[in-house]
Amino acid sequence: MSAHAGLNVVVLVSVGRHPASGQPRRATLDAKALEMALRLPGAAVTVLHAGNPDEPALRDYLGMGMRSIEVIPLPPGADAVAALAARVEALNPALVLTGLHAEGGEDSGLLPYLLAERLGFPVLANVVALEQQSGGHMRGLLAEPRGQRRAVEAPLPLVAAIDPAAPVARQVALAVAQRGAIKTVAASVATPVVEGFTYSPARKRAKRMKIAKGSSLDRFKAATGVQGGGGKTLRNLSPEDAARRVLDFLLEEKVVGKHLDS
Amino acid sequence: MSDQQPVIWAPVIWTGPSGHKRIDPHRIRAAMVIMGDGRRRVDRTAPDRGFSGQGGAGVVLAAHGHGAVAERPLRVIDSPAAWVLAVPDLPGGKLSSHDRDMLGAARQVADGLSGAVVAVCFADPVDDLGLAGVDRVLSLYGDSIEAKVSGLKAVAAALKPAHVFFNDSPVGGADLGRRVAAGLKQATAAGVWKIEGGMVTSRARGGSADLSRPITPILLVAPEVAMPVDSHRHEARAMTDVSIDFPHLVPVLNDLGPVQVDPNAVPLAEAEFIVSCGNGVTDMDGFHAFTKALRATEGASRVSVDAGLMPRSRQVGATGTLVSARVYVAVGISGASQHLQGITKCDKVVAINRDLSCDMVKRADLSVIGDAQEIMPALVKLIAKENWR
Repeated sequence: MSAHAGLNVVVLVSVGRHPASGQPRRATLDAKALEMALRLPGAAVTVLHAGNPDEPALRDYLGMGMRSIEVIPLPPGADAVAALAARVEALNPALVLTGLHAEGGEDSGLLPYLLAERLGFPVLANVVALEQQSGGHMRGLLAEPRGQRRAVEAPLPLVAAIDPAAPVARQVALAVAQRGAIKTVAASVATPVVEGFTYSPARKRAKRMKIAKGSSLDRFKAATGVQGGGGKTLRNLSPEDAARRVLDFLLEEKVVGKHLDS
Repeated sequence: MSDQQPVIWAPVIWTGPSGHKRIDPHRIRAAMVIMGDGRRRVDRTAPDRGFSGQGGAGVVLAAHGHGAVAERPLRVIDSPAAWVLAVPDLPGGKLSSHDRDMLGAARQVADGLSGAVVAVCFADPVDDLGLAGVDRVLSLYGDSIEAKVSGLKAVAAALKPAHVFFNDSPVGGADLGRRVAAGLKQATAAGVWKIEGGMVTSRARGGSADLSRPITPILLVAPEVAMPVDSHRHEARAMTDVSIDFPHLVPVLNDLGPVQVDPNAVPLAEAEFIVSCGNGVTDMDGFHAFTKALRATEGASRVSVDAGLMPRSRQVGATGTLVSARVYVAVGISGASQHLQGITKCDKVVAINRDLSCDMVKRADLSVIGDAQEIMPALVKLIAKENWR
């Protein structure tokens, strides 16, 4: 398979929630996944949703430039993994993209992994960029904490879960959204409703208090946070000596220190 | 060359020749301690300040959450009714506070089952696992994520634990925990912030709702899910009496390693290494060469930003960005309290300043008193000469 052949991409989307008003809209991370799919050169993109086909928020995905999206009708509270896995297998894509986690339901972020396990595909999480390599491989750029990035290569077919640091999704165009079609695809497997979940309005988590143990003096010091006079002060050094001391400190803290590759 | 902090040895309150108490307000101001967030405090309890007649008692401050180590009784669990597996992140080879909270939750659940906590470590085992509530330790060696997942699945097959705990953290536990959950095909609760009475609670619906359900076999816990263990210490002995069958692994993912990022492309609030300029920096070209040589993210105090030398997005402080860098270098910044509020969470601070008595020098872990315009090029030359990057 040459690197220039069309890539079959399936993007799994969910219905998101506006953080302030609670109104349904496209989910941020799923929109970023669709954006990444639309930017892949030569990709044939299919958007798949499991839920209510009449949900108006699904039009937001159409408005990003899709002619149609597929919806598997499911009752609320049903587990989507089995139905999605069956449909994705029928579509036979090379790449399955989805957001790292949803924002309207359980939001556990388990779907990409459960799907990958069922389909037998490898899974990459926290993806911010994808690049097709020759030989049926995909190179993904993964986001790590503190703005770091890591490159990982995986063979196709692949499931990729998109990180919040991925490029922002394009705007929704109303006319394009209204022209698009929502196609219903019946679920080919049983979709049981998940039991035992109780939702309640979120309660604020109590902040953990730092209670110092010890005498009243210890507790006073802990509460006021008075710090002892720590820290070295270097005076009357030549610039070269001062630079040497600062560099030694930075090397010790390991923020400077990988030798230049020659 | 003097390495010492200037010590005020003369008392700030003394008895004058007429027999009355005399106070020198200038010495009081010089003796003030700068707190992490910029407030000035007078520590009247320090014994060498001469504030009080008795002087402060020797203060041993017990760190949060940890009772004095020697006093904690040892709790031995020889025949547990169930195993609770816990996989700490161990960032940098040490237990983080998230790890301790997770082990506290594992301990709480294990106590409910009369079981024992088994910690699975992928790094060299750490010393304070016993203090964190771990009864047994299993050290596995796995460098790639697939090796770790395969190892954990084998351990779970051998021990058949009642629960497996992971950290729901971007450092490693979130990805590892979800892969293991998918591999073991067990019910999983993610982002758990409360475990109470057989029910676990996590956030759902974009953070607007709480989801309660019965406790699941696999849990990915948020920080501060439970208090760390501080009443007893546990054995943390190596598990030698269990045989685990590790299947042969065919790796599929190829980790190509970290990719160099432009330090200035990293958001300031997340950056790990920040170098900021202030009023004392006049040579901006030299400053940019300095940050480029150090590969550090650029920041600025309000003075530089108001002068138009740096964009507003680079301002560090109360009205700018609150930064949580591990190392913060302040060049020519005097340390107004609003700027110090911005760097409260910074771990180590280096100050390059001409003024010995400024508040930034009091806050810093290493202060160099000198002209920034001379020290910055000297450091750039030193880095180029020694080939550090």
